[in-house]
Amino acid sequence: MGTTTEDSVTTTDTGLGTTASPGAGAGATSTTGAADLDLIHDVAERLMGAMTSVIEGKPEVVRTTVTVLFAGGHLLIEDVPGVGKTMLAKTLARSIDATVRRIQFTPDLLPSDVTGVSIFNQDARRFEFRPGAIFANVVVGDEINRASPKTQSALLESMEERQVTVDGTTYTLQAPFIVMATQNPIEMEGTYPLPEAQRDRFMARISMGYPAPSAELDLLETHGSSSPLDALTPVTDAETINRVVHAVSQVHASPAIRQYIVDLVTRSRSTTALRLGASPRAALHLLRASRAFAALEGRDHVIPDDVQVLAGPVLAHRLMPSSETQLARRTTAEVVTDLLRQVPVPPAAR
Amino acid sequence: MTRRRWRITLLGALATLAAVYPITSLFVETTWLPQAAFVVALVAGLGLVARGLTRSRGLVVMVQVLVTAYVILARYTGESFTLFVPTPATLEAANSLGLQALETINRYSAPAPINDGITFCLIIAVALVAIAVDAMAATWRSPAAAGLPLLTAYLITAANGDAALALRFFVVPVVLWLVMLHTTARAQFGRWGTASAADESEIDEAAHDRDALRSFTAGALKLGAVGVVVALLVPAVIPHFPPRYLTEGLGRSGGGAGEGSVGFNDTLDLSRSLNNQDQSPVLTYTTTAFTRSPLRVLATSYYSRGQWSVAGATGDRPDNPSPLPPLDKRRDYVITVTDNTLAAPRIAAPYPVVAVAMEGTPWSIDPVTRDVRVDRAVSSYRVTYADLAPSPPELRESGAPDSPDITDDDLSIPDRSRDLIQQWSDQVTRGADNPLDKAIAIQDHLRDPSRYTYSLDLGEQLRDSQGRLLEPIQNFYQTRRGYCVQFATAMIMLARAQGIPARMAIGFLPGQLSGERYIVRASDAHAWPELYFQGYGWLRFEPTPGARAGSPPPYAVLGAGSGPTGGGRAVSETNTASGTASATSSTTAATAAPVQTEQTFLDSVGHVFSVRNVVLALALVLGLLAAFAMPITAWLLRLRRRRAAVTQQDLIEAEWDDLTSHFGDLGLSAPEGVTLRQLRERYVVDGHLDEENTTAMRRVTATLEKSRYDRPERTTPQEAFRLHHDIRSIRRQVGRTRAWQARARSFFWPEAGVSFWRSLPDRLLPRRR
Repeated sequence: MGTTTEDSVTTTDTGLGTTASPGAGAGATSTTGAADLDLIHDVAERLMGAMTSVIEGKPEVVRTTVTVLFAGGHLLIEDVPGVGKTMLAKTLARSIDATVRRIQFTPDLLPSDVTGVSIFNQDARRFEFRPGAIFANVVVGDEINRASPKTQSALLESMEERQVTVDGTTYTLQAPFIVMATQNPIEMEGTYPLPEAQRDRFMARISMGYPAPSAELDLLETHGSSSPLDALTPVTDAETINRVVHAVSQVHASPAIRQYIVDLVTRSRSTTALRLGASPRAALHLLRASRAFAALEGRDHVIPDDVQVLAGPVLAHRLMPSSETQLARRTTAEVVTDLLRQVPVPPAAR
Repeated sequence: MTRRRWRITLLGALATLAAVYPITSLFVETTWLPQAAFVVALVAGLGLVARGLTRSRGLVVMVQVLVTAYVILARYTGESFTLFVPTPATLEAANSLGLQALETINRYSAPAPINDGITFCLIIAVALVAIAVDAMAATWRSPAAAGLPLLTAYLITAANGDAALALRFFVVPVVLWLVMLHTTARAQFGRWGTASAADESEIDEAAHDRDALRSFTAGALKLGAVGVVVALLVPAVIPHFPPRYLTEGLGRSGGGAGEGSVGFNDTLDLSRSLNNQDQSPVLTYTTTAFTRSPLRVLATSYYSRGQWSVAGATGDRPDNPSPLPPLDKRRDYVITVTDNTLAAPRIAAPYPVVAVAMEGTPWSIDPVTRDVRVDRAVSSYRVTYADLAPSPPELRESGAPDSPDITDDDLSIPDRSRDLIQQWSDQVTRGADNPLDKAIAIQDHLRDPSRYTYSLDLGEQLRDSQGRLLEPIQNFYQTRRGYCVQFATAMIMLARAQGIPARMAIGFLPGQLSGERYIVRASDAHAWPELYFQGYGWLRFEPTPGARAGSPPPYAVLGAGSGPTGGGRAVSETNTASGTASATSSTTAATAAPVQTEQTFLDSVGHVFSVRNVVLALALVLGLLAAFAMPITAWLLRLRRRRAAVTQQDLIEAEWDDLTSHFGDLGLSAPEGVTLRQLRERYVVDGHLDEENTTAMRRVTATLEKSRYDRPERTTPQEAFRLHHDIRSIRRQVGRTRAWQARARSFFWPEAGVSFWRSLPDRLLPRRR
């Protein structure tokens, strides 16, 4: 575990190529092309059980979080302060028995704080690499949009490539690797909004939303004495997550589904409601997320309903609204809803 | 709001005027029209003012009725008012005006003259229509209902005129009515629109509403335009049917114009008179004779271009009529005519006239035809006429005609039909060796109802191989139907072909006995042939069969005297090649019986396969095909798709598409961007599926989902088979929950078939751009 070797097994179910789930986990679970639904179901149950004990009244948020984890993506949690963004990230981190690092982003945070730095070791008379905060299975990036763009980009580069290059040496990150970043809406003071290219690297964006009044009441009661996080114990480990990610990649996505996803992103590029449509990476992420969601639902094949459920979280944060859309005060999430209504579900009637 | 009311009121008034305008074609003058316009304007103005003052709709209508009634009464019966107040005398005056109108309507056929009574009633009718239209369109804001009074006004004209109304009479009120509908509907839909949304600057929603309204309006406008165009095109396509009247007097087709008189114009076409439903008498008379002779008005020998006309009497004209047979060979009778309305210079009298007694106008007798001519119409006169009663043997002996009375016209046959007439005539008169027998043979041939049909409807005129219209005689020979003019013309030509001089006589049948007087009406108009016999002059024959003809005179009835009974009639037809040959006459039925049955059979076969029947059958088949075109197309497409299905998935998809298409026809549409599961829920809820079929629906979508999105090999044939049964069961149940109209539409107009035809041009024509 946690090696930096290159012995990765590339799974090529769709040719779209998720990366590598290295190590023994992959080999142990590989069956005859079918996903290990039992494993996925078991892990998902335990994870969600643990998380809902802390994050109350938000089953969809928890479900999307687990979906992103299983799909091997990164998660952006965007909302106003105080609704439990960090709590969600920490809960997930605490539920997995893996290395967890938390980075509090501030304007003066340096890129090397994130990636690591080479320090000259006087004794050994050579440079030694001291890994940064990114070297962990679960990285919680708090208030990511408070950091300078330079630092943000250092993080985001490693998110996509799952490796860090410092002083010409490339260090591969551990698997699983999930970044959960929180950010405040860009209107808030003292923030550096994430550039489109960097938002694109997050598989999904969720927002917590205010809790229901009853849930808030419970929250006041329980959180008064002690944090429920303290009571949380890990319910799974990094290796299991690796196996799950691999199993998810085995979920069948029929040509019709792939066509549907392509139709959706193509339509997003041509619609007048958007200035910038979805990228090919967005299509890739949508497919991966849909697979994970299908697996969570206990299916070993994706159906359009999975795509529709995830289209909002996966696509909305990458799109740029046109000025008309902004004038009409419509969010990109609403535009995605419109797209779903317009694009026929394949196989369309001939 | 007020502008809309203005517009609706104005449109209603215009539509009313447009709908009553065709009434002008029913009357000679149009003096009433400005008054009608004034009344319509009055009603509209009253409506506008009253609606501005009160919200009570009943009150508005009451004001309109009362004020309009007062104005009309003041205008037409104003002299009976005392201090601007109607008195009982007003009622009497109105009553007498009404009676006058009633009498006029009863007496005259369209176009009728205008008098105060007619104007009074017309204005009242216009006022009623105007009030009804205004009340429905503006007061109650339902212009659709206003179509009914408009239609009533329009139908009054359509039902009473003698010809089809011009299209513009229909188009203008219809378009105005549609515009009325459009205006009101727009205003009403505009109110539906969320006005609050616009206030909250929800730009998109307001725009959305506007867009929806616009597309809805555009659709409605298109539909209206198509409706009007179809209404204009359909009458052009379907044939014009002859008028049929439920009761006499309702539909008055025009025969004589004005004053109920019957005129004979130069082209002697009797069909208008025969069609005349005017019951007012042309003349009444008493006679001293026991047998009634037809009253002749004129005779002519001149036939040209398929028409008889009085013009063109050529050749030398004798100064005096040739003398009548001596008194012992004739009997004289006197006919006294009263209430004569026949237009000058003609009067009606039996032939031949011996003496005329009339006052007030000079008269003369035409030397050739013995027509009596007058300078001015007289209402009563007395005519002495002779009843020639030649005996058949004498006539048979009469010899070759040679008299100054006879001109070349009396023997001329139209060149175009000469061959046909000669052949026809020779066939008919075969076996007869003297003029009388030949004439009787011709007459009986034409009177045989198994050969010829009496009908005022001549049907469509036939054309020859070069596309020219047939000569009327040829046409009659082919169609074997006609009325007195056709029969008389045929007999004249057939007689001329045998060298017997013949001419056309036009006049009236003896009419109906009413008390002691005979009443002759316009519909008694008749035409018959007169044949010349040396020594006896022109003798009447009667080739027209049926009730609307006279009976043949005694000398023209076979067996009335001695002679070769049936000798002239034993006509055996040999010309059967054309299939139009007729059977032999009844007197020789015994000998010709076997031939006859065969021919009758052939005839009936020929009849069954006649052009008309074949065309009808073809039309029927085509109509059925057209009605079932869409279902058949859909079925064929379905079949083709099933055949083309390679994999099980294709078959399942075909089944499913079939179901969604069928549900779409039933109103359960499948919007784009809807997943199977969402669609399933919609079908379950809106299709009112019961529990069993809900389960079936779940099975169907599960199978389909598996087939579409899971690995192909996982779908089992059993599942596909069950899907087929589930779909059938679901279809049945959903069908039961729909109204029969929806089911009929889904059957006759399936979208699958319709879209095929709709997209056909795109597929066939090379795509542009």
